[in-house]
Amino acid sequence: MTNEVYEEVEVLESIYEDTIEILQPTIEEKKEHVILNVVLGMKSNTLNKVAIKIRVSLKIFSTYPDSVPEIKIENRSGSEIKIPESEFEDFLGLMNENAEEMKGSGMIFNLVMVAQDFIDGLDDYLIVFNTIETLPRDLIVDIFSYIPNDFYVTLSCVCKRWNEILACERILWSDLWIQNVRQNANYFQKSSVHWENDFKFHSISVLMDRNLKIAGSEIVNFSDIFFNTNQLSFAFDQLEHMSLIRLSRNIYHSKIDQANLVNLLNALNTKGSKGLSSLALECVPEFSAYKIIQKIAKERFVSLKCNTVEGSKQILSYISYPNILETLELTHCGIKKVSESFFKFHNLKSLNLAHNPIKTLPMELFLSKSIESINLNNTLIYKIRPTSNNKSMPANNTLKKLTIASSNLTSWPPLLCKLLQLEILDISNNTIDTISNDIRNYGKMRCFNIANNDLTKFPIENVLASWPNVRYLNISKNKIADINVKNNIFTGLTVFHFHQNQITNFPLFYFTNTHLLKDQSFNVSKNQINDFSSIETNENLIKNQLQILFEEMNFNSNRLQQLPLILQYTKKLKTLKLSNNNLQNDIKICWDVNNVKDFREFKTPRGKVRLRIVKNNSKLPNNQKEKKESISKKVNKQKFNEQSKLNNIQKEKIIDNNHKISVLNQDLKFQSFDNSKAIFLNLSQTLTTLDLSYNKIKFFPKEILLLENLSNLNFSNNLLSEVPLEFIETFYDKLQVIDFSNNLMKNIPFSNGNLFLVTPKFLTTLAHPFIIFTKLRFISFSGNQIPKKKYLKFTSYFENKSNQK
Amino acid sequence: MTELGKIKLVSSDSQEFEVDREVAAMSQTIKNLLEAIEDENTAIPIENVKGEILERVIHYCEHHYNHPSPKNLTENENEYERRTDDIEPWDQTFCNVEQPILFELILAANYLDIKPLLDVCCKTVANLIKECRSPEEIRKRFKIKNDFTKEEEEEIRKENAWCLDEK
Repeated sequence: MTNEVYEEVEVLESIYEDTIEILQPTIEEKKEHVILNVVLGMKSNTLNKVAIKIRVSLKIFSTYPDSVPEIKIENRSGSEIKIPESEFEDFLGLMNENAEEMKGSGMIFNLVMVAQDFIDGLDDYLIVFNTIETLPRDLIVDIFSYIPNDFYVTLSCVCKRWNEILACERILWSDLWIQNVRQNANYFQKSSVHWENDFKFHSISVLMDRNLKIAGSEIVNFSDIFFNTNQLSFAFDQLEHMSLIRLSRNIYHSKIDQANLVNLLNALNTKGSKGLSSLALECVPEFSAYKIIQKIAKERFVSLKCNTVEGSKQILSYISYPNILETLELTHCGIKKVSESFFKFHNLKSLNLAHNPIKTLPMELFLSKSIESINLNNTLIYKIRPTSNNKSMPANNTLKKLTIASSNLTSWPPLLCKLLQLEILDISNNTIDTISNDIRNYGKMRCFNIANNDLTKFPIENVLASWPNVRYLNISKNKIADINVKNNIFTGLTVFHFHQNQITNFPLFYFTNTHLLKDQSFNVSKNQINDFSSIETNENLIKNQLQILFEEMNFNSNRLQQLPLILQYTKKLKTLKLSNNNLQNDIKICWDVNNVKDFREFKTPRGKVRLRIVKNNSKLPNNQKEKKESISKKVNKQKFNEQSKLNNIQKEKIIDNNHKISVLNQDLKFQSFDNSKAIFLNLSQTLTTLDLSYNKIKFFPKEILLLENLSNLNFSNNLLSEVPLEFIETFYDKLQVIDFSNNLMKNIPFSNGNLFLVTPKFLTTLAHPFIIFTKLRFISFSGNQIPKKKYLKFTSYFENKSNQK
Repeated sequence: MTELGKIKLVSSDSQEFEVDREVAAMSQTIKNLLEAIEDENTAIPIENVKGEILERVIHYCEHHYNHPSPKNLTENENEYERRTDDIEPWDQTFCNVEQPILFELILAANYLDIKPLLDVCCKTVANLIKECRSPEEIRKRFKIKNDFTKEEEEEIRKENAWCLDEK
């Protein structure tokens, strides 16, 4: 074989090293030729490179290159591929033509290239041939998603591609997580097997997805998962791919003991911790925390969190790259002083020193040009110390968020006024008594919380006018008496808390602010508000068709004498709390509950209303002897026992029998419920919880019977002596909690002496009236004037009932 | 001219099929095309699908257009475990084809974006896989080449040994 041939073959060998072969002539043949065989596959489509193959066989004579090699083509493709013979015949002709043309110079290489071109052009025939291997990756994932996870072990052994897909397609595994956690918390103990295998498929990140909802493979969270030793050690093998380790409290509480932490340490030692940039040690035993930090202290941490580790100094000294650290969290560390070692982190953005016995706060902490967030909750801080060299605060300091809640601040620290970039400031749960007017200067303020302090005044008008971005304002639990804002100067607030103050006038702007009205609950409890009627007189509110969408309204512990008229505008109210107010009624007003239509006619709360007033001077306990004084022709619902002594005859309207009369509301000034019809009609579909405890209500307001969905009624600590019979009819299948404790009842309601008074509707089925309440969970009549005998009977009945259950 | 309410689909090997517009619109891809094309009579080329497969796909769509299946059978959001035993009998017969055709159906369903067809085909394949007892059996059934080296295979076997033994 000539050198020329060799050179060409060498080039070909470099390309087709696996499939080329050279056959030297056998002695018997005595002919001077070599045979070169090359098997060619399709290059363009890697998935199918095994699918279409041809073998080119060149018989090269000694006269080469002056003679043309003898060319043979053989189809080596799988049987599925149907390439017509004519293609090969044409191709052979082409090869021979080419060979003739190139006669005289090296042509082997070129001929093989022609053959390669030919085979690359055969992809028309490929489409016939589809196997599971030709499916694109996402379809394979789709198929796998229908296969139970415990089968994945088998699947991953099939081929490299499947192994890789199973390892990397997080979606397959995250499904597993959701499924297991939802279905069976014990799954991990039972089938830790499978999880261990996950790890073998290098897919720790799976754990993250559901846990922290952070995608990406950089973070591992060991919280909430019970690892056995094997799993943990295996997990640690992956450390080099992690950038954050979070060893949270569960490790402490679970079975992961020293031995496992030693595993971690060893892994850190041997594998190094390339890329490890964040470390969180939460409730890790102190000893171990130290060791871990020591081992990896060389790392370039961006974030370091340690909780419950005494001696922060030592930890701080381990940090070798203070300029890189962006997040530092040292809570529960027993730090007493914010020392200079905290000032060396020039890129620190977030500092959390909550739950440390720090007493004073050096101003230097705010001087850093990078710091954005400082958390000093639950410390002992009572003052902010000026900088040692009296350096003034740069105007461009970067602090955006500062929280010093639950600390020992007794007065507003003037230095705080210099942090003009503040957007969030939380100084709640201190004992601050005055606040500087300079807080106006926080032009960027978004959230301001000064709840639970001793403030008597809050410059709300100033503040709202000068904080254009404020959304959250909490001044609750102070001693503020006045927050009257006359004008609608501000509409951006979405949360405004002012309950538990000493406010007497309700801030009207509240109801002109559409954002506040979108809130779920409304709370003015523990103030001294006595009237909401001024709101109603505001014509604008009515004009704007005020719609109140609160689900809960809390008016507890105010001085309300009337139901707040704004209740008429609620649309979704479910819970209404009116406990501890001055609500009262001294005469009995019976609304014709069955004739709701009548009520609807009178929408104007202060307009004329048609009242039906029933007065009963009969003291007969038996309702058969009772005189009917109900007026309505259709309805005689009001024939329940009326034992009450209506002493205040002066206040009463004594009405002749069989007359309907109209009364102006103004005539009934003593009635808290005199305008309640419209209100209760409005609430009838939505309200489920009503708290009227600690008022002075003498008669059960029948309007309550309009509430079709009431399930919770608290009427304790009033002056009730009776509950009307309709109560049962209306609520027997609704009420779950009934509290009539601490009233003036002399009988268990709904019963007349020992005879139970029930309407005919229930007579046939009833052994005891309380059975009627089909959903009852709690009922109380304690603290009434019910004779012990009856009471005992009542309680024993209930004991029996609960025993049966 | 195509009939009213019908459109013409042309497969990759130039076979033509006349289909109800509504039936064809079960394919999201075709639906989108139809919205883009103004001339009702334009034949729509389905370049990635051969006639033989397209015919089957149309058959599927026509059947399901005429026999709509209750929705909750195919999609139950509360169920995290994806079931494979809920294939309707008709679909089972439909999918009972040679593997190459099944995979082409998957590709076609994927390309034409017919979710129920794709689901039912994928489920069928999943069932075929689940019937196998060992990796070797899977390889054999799907003609997959074992491209692990002996050492790699040994390693994987070792790692999973106790796991596989358990079965």
